Amino acid sequence: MAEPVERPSIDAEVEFSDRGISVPIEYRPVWMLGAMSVLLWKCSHGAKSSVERLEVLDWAVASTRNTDLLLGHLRAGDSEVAMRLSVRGTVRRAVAVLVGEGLAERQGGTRVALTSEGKKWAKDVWEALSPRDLLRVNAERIQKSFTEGAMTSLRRIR
Amino acid sequence: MSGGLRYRACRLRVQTQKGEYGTEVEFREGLNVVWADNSMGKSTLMNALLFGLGLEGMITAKHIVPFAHVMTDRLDTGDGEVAVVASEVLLEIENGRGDVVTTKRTVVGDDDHRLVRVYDGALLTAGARPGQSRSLYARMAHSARREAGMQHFLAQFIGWRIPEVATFRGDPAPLYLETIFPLLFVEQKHGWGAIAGSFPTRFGIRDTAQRAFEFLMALDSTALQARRAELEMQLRELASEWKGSALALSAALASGGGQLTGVPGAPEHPWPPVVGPVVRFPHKGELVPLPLAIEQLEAELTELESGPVATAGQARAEALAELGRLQEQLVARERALGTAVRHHAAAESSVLSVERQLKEVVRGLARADDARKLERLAHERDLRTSSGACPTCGQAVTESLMVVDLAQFEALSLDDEVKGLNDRKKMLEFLLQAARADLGEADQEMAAMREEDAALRRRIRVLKAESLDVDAAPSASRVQRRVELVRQLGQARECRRQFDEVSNVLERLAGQHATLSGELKRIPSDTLSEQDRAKLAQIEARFIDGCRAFGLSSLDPAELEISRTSFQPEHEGFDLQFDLSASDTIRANWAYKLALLDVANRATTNHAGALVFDEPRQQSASKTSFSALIRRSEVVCRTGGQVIIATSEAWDNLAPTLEETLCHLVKFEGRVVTRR
Repeated sequence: MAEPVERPSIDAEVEFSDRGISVPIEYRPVWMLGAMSVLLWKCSHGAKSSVERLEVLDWAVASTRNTDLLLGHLRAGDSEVAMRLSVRGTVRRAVAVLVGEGLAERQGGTRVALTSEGKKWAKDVWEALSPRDLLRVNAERIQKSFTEGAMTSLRRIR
Repeated sequence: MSGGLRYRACRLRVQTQKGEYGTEVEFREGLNVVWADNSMGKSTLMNALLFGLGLEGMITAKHIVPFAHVMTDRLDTGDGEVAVVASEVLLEIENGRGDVVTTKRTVVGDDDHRLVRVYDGALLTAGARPGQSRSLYARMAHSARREAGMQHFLAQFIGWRIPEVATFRGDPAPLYLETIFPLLFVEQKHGWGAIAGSFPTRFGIRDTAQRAFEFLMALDSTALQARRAELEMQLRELASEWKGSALALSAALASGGGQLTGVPGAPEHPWPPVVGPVVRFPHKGELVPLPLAIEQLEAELTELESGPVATAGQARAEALAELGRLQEQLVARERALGTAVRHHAAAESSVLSVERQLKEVVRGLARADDARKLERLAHERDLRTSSGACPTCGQAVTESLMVVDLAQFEALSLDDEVKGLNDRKKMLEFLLQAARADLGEADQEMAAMREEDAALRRRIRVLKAESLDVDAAPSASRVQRRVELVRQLGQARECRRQFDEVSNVLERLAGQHATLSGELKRIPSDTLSEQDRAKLAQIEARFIDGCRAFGLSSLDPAELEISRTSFQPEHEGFDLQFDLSASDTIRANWAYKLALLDVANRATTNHAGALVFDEPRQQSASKTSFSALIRRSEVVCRTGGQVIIATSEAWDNLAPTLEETLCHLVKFEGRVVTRR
């Protein structure tokens, strides 16, 4: 049997400590505040949207595949593209925080709109995101193509 | 002072729908006092100095212009507001060699605000006509390193050779001008919070304030730090060359059937070590050290060549016995090859899997980095979420918006999350290195086995053919063995040649590495030269004098020191900041900056010789202290330099001091920006 050409060795000290639960960045309040405001600002006409539509957008920007599916659906019409959406409950909570911070306001029913302060925040967030971040890349691909009308057609399919 | 910068004049131009507004101010050598009432645009003028130098990044990480609405949006004319159509800043500066240039930068208008036009000559004070201009860029990547960068130009203009310094990322970076200017320009909003100044941290430079001080006061430790960064870079390059050579050798040997062991991943000294690297070569079904293989192959070849070639009849019995043995061997080897192929596939899949995980973690880290930026933005905006409170009810919120109840668990903070991701990244990198080593071995093993199998099959074919040959024919198996020996010997010698060649390279690299490592070890990490100590003693004495003159009372000024490691003021080994009242922090800030300028007038330093205080009477520093600041600034300037103090101190308080002081006064009775 051949001997290894080069094998790393562990020389680090082992350290034991209590640690909390690891929470994915996408579930953290500050991130979601930023993500929701970006989705409202960049992907919603008049910076307003139904919360349901935000749920779909949040799912769509989570991966390149999801964005492909949503855009494929929008291009192909009703049900020619198979899409299975997994919706996170965090969006509703994030919207509540966004409203609480005065960055968005509710507009009757389940619609929500960015306030002028919220638009400034969204712009700052957009500039802070690295150019290769999935949220930024996918939001840029979707732009405002996913309308409330398209959301209604999605709801019908369901 | 080896460097030099003087502000000669600044012009603000604001084009509105109702005509042109603006202001123009001249500055002179020595003390300059700019007086205007509160909120009249004094800080706009002071920020224009930074903007004209392309250094507003010192006070904001955002890529925006650092001006109030008067320059960007609307201008209050007294009769109402008018919209700003275009605005720009012109700044005339001079260096220590007497060269004068004028910079022109658009705030609002057609030009991008990151573009700086630099004209030779004094466009403002001497009315020179704008001639040839250079277009430089500011606030963009590489502005400090490239010729077209404003920072690069400014450093050359001042006469600074900017050192490379260590960063938290590990690679060296230039000591950006934005990290030096806090010692030369105290801006109103951010500059007074800390005695030494507020240094931007976003460049990731280790011990930014320390590095800026060392450079500005030309401490010998600057050169040492620069040499350290240079050595570290050279060592990294050597290690990379070493690794490349070892890998190339290993691949070249593998193609000839050889196998290399014992070359470490990084240069080692002494080289070659007692137990040096070994090349093994396949011989008679096993791997033997290369010199031994060559020796045995040569001996066997000599023996075959020494006598006449046997006939097929003479060799048949021996050939048939060998055929049987080799056929058994072939079956065993095919089984072993199957195992090796499976091992190779597993190693390959392991590398792919770790690479995929590592990619995910790297992406997670990039996202965490973005999240931290958002957290900072949220802090700047005073969002309650950023301090862990619910914006509606004020109760504490967890770090998570997940639906599952985390109340009974503690969620990791974002910083700990990043630390965890970094640890995971390190572990995965380690695993990847191990998995790649495994794959490399599997590659070598398979290549060696295939090579041997091919030889075995060739031999079997010949032996089979020989069993059918007529007795008198020359023995094909003996002839083939001879040909095979010559081929193997050729390969083995080629392996030896390549090994010797790369061994020489490795020896050279190890020698260079040892020399550079030795030099790096000899560089003291915190030792100051005699001149450095003398300079620091002078700064300390002047700092204490200044504190005394400004009426610092929280502590006895005589007990204050300038730290020999951090170069910041301290008291009994503790950062001074914690022991001082807010107004005494301001006094200490005046004393510190003036002490640097004062010492720069008498010793060799890189100080630019210009110091700007924007609204130095903060935190209600007393009237007496402020008068003392004016007087002391004037005294310091007598030996050289330029101090610009912008203030809105009550005129009645200020006037008597100014009467007794030699200074150039720029007084605005109303707004700074007025109708032209």
